[in-house]
Amino acid sequence: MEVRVADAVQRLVQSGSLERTRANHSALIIQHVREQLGQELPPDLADFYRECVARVGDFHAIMPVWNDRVGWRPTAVKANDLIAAQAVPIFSDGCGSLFGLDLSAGDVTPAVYFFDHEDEFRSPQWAAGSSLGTFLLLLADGDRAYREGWPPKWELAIDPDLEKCPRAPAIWNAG
Amino acid sequence: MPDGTIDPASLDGDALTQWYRRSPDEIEQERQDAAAQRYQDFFGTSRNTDEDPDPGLDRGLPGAAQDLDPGFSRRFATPTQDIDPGFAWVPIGPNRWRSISSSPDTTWSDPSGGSAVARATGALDRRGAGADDGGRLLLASADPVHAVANASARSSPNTLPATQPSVSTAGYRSPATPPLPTFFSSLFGGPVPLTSPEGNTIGYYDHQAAKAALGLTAEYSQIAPLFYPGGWLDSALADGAATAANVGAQSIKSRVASAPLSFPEQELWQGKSVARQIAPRLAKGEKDVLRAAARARYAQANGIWASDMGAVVHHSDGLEYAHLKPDADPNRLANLWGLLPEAHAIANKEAAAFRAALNGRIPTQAEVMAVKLKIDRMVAPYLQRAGVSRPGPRPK
Repeated sequence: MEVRVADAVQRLVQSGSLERTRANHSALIIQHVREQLGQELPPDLADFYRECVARVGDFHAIMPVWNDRVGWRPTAVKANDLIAAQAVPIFSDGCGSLFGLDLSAGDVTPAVYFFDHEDEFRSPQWAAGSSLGTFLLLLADGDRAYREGWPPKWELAIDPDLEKCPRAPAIWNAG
Repeated sequence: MPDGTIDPASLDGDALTQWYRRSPDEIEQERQDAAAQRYQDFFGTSRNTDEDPDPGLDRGLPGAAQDLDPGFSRRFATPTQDIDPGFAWVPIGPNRWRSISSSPDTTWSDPSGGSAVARATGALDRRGAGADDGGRLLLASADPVHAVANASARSSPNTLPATQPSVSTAGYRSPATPPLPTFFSSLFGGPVPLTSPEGNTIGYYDHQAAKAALGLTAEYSQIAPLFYPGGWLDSALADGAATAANVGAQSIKSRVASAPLSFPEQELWQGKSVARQIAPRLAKGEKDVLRAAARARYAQANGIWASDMGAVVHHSDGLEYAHLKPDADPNRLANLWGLLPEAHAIANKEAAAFRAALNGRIPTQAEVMAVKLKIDRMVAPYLQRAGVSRPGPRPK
């Protein structure tokens, strides 16, 4: 099941789980990331940048920060930090690890994977969303699921295709 | 460090390794050197450690024969003269004296039942008193004849002279009652009374217990596993008698010389986790749950989410090796640090270097702790604390 990024963002804004950035520099950001990656961005990623997502729940979005006076501000995580793993970081997990959007999917809707800092971000550890839209929905409910003790594999109710991601299994099959 | 010892947090590399590999004797020597240095810094004089009133090793009798202030007694013409001729010392009980005016009109009643007329000129009844100490402290000797005679006549600090009936111990006052025995001293019959050649009790000393404590501490690490079910004893039985023999026979130094930074005799109670990896590594799902719990716990303890401070929650004792310490909660508050992402990148880099150096080997707990301390020192300046004014998250 594919959920468009714009629809997911709209839903999260209504639920109060999503915050947007103050300024809209999406055009500059898309151009800048294109230069950093050296390739065209997947449509979902461009849509994500256009939505100006700052944070979802406790998770901060990762994107270049433009300042009209300074220019591109230095950030701890850059768009090309996961290029070796063929991914682009989009969210921090709050503990130093990253969620990255797959860049090797080609024409297929790219999935989102978890990259562990203990593995030095070498390869995706487990699938976090079969698409960027569904990933945003799962991310918003992640802490709540832990807090309220939701049953295992609750993610499948929101993202039924989670176990079909090609590069890594779902977390319950990750070992 | 303030007490003169070396701060291991300031060491690195080989220096840190050598610090870990010190033997108990070296540790004790370092402690004594630091104590001697502190004494010298305070009093400005050198101090013979053999006369340490609180020695840690058996050096025979205590070195209580030396004045804390050697120059004190030399300020007086003769030790037998009163500092103030108008006053004299009269006994009021065993090992207790009182100075009273030696005016002819002054009388004093001995609370012990006797009476004495205080006269500095000699009318004073000194039968119950020892020799005039000139204001210096006296030995707690029941025999007044063998009281202090001359502070300058110092005998060997470790023995009582056989020919000289009195010994200079000015500055030392033995307690009226023996000190309470320590845990270790009670194993050896309690504090040892010290007696002069004449048989008088002049004090108490716990040197045997102090010496035993060093050896017992080293031995305790081997017997402690017996109290842990399924601990060292199981592995010892599995490996046969050779394991038990090796643990007792090898010294720390010889074992470490041929092995990485490791103290298996100190880690026996967790021997299974260190040596055989009985506990498997954390699964990815477990790590994810732990990290979510860590963020929540950090927020609960600090009243603010780490992300609101622009920080990430860093496990100082990483989850990667949490299985090596199965009894330690990875999400204990002391282990959760709020770090700037840039600082966390520093920690990641150092952890990666450690991982690469292992070359696939399972690290010991000591090695994990050593790298943890190293990383802690590196990132401590970048800790984010709730309530401390620091640059917050950059506005987007």
